[in-house]
Amino acid sequence: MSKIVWSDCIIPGPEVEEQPFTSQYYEDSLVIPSTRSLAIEERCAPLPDRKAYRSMSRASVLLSIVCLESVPHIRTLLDHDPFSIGMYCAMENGPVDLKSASEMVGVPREKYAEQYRKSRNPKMFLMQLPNLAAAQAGIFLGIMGPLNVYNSSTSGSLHALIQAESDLQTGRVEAALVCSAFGFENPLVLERIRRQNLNDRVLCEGAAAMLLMAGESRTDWTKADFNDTREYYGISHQLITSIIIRE
Amino acid sequence: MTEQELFDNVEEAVRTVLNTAEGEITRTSMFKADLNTESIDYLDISFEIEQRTGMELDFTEAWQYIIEKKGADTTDISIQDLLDYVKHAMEQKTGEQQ
Repeated sequence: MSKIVWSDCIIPGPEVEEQPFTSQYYEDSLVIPSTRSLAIEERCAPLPDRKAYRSMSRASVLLSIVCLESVPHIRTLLDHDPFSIGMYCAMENGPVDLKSASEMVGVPREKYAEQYRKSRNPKMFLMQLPNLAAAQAGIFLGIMGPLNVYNSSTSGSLHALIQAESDLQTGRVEAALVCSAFGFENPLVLERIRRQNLNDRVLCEGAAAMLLMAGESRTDWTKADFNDTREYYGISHQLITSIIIRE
Repeated sequence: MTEQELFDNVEEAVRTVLNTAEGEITRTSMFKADLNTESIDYLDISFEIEQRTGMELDFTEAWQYIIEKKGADTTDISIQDLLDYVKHAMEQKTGEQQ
């Protein structure tokens, strides 16, 4: 039983041209024919902590940007009870540090530990944790309720919507912030999407957030047709598509 | 490496980690008071300095060196303090190699 109080999404505008995606680490063996990315540079993102980008993946930065848009809509709820808002976040694991991995190729065993220490950014592992991305957004917002993270590549944001709906129905939370972000970071994730889900669609970066509260009717999120779209937004696809359809 | 080149490298490393504006970091900038540096940032800064100078930087050793110079009640260090330590460590390394 939910009603949508607020929603927002960040997706590439019509001015962004379709381009093939290639990776310097995979060269011609990995090409996504048609993609559109967001013109957002992580270190210039308007986040409350300017150095937070060092421990955040691109998707994590996108997630925080879109979640911060909810502030005017959740302020009253937070003032009332910060534990009553749950976060339901769909995120993939962050990127593997391909630069340092490539520097490790061919390093002899006896020099491996030293080279690993020299090549590996100590904050890199933080970028790989999807729950950290959700936690960081929650910290920025001041949400202290239950934090749920879903990382199913194909259905993550649908799982988040369904669980939020269920928790609102049972009264576990008064409000649910459902959120998700997808960025072009891990070439293997993009390749998996190309093989399994993309078909002829354009693969796009995107982020979305939706604030739900208990309502009179139950929404069956699975009924929407998420396949009849020109764009595909990775793990965020169902959430972004739900918002676009309603707009 | 000249004194200015060393400052440029350290300044760029600190700026990369703390995401400060160009020109915001000076030799007198204090890590905690002015730049709001947290413990995990020191590890990140030492990584970035090593990437730029090739100099392995141990902040525990740096801290020991600086409090020996400034006193045991030191709670914050400046960019210049760090530069002094890096210079000292580089000289020590050169001495060991010779």
